[in-house]
Amino acid sequence: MTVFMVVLPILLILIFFSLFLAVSKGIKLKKNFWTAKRISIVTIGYIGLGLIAFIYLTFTNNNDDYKVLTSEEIEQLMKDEIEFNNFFSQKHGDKFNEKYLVDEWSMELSTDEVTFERESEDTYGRVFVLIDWRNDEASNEIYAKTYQIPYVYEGIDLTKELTKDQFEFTGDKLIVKKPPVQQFTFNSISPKMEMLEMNVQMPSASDDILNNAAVGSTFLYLNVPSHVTIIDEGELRFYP
Amino acid sequence: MSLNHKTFPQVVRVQTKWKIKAYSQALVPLLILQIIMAFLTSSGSGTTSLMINQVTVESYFYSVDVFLISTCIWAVITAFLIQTRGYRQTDLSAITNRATGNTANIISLIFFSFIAVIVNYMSLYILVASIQLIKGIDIFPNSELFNFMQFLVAFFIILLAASSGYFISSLFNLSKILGSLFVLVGGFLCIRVLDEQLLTIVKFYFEAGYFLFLVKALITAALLFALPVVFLNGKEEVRE
Repeated sequence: MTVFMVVLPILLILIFFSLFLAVSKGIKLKKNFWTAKRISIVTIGYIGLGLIAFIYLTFTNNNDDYKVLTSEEIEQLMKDEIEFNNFFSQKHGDKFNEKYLVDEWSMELSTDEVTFERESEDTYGRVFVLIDWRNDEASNEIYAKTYQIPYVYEGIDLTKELTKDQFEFTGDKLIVKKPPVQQFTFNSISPKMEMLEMNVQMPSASDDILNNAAVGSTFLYLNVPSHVTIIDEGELRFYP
Repeated sequence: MSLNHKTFPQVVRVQTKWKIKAYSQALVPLLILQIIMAFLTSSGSGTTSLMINQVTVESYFYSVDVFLISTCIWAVITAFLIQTRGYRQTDLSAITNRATGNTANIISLIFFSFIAVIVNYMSLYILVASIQLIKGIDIFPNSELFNFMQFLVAFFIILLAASSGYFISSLFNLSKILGSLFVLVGGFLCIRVLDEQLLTIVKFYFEAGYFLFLVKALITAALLFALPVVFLNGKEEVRE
């Protein structure tokens, strides 16, 4: 990369000089081909083409597969994640923002015990489990609510790709599954100087939010009968 | 007493109009250079990647970096050439003195820098729209397609390059030894301490945010443009 950065300007200077000589002296289609009028026509034409491209890009970037979030939306997302963490630390699962509720389900236990496991330490980011006890001697059913803070990378919402089948309930075991190996490739347009953004620490600005990956968290809020024993082998409960 | 009394602003206005027309040929190499740069960066200006456990996200981005770097080199060379003997002598086609000639040059360079930054952005839009149309791949905008602050920053970067070229050219105009010495020392310093010093200079301009960059760039460009006006004011021009 460093070699490229050194060679590129030299290459550009050579190209430029060749072009300059070609245009001003050497290659002329006929005498005074590049008149001021023709140059202004070509330049205005180029700018016009650019404007058409701009309009095209403005109206064709409504991608159906992936949602692209604005810096304001990401900023809100980060605030909401902090709020989630606060309620989580205060054990107020009932105050979780319903906007992020992605699934509501239940597990019927065959015994009075449930085991929490994880297939691998490498789970999708962070999974937090919060328990809310209820007095219900007659039932062995656990009610679960999954809240998902979106995964955002450079403005692209990757949540649906990164949170597929996170949990499995089988044989009185709640398992956080190991994510499969996946690779995604995205192309993005960034009408600014990326080199500056990468090399210079800028003071906080809305653009910085876009540059940071908002790594979503999964909050699993479980409503469990008080007589059920939880064996947390996967250490999913931060506040047992 | 002359019947055709011309004030300083009137002379500058006439000369600027004339110079913009006369030097418009400089735009042709710029346009060709932009097209070459578009070909060179057709697979992306750069790439970033993120690994969340088993998931790899690769992102290719198209930014104005390469277009802007090539435009800066173009601006330096154009500003340098505008002060060379051949160009200077064409000043004598109109009513002129050093002050009006320099002022007209500066206004022309500001005008060309403005056109250049527009061409820069248009090149990026044309490139991305072409890739989307030809290759059929989706390209996300990871921020607004046009940001006025970024546009101003790019304009001032080009203006800084143009003012540097103009200053160096004026040094050569004043004394070839002084000019050569300045280029040699500057070149030596850049090569010797390229990684650290260059980054320090970039940090000096950008560490306090874009708005302060604009102020710093404006002061630097004004100084680099004004100094030649001051120290070349008394220098005579001999028509050969």
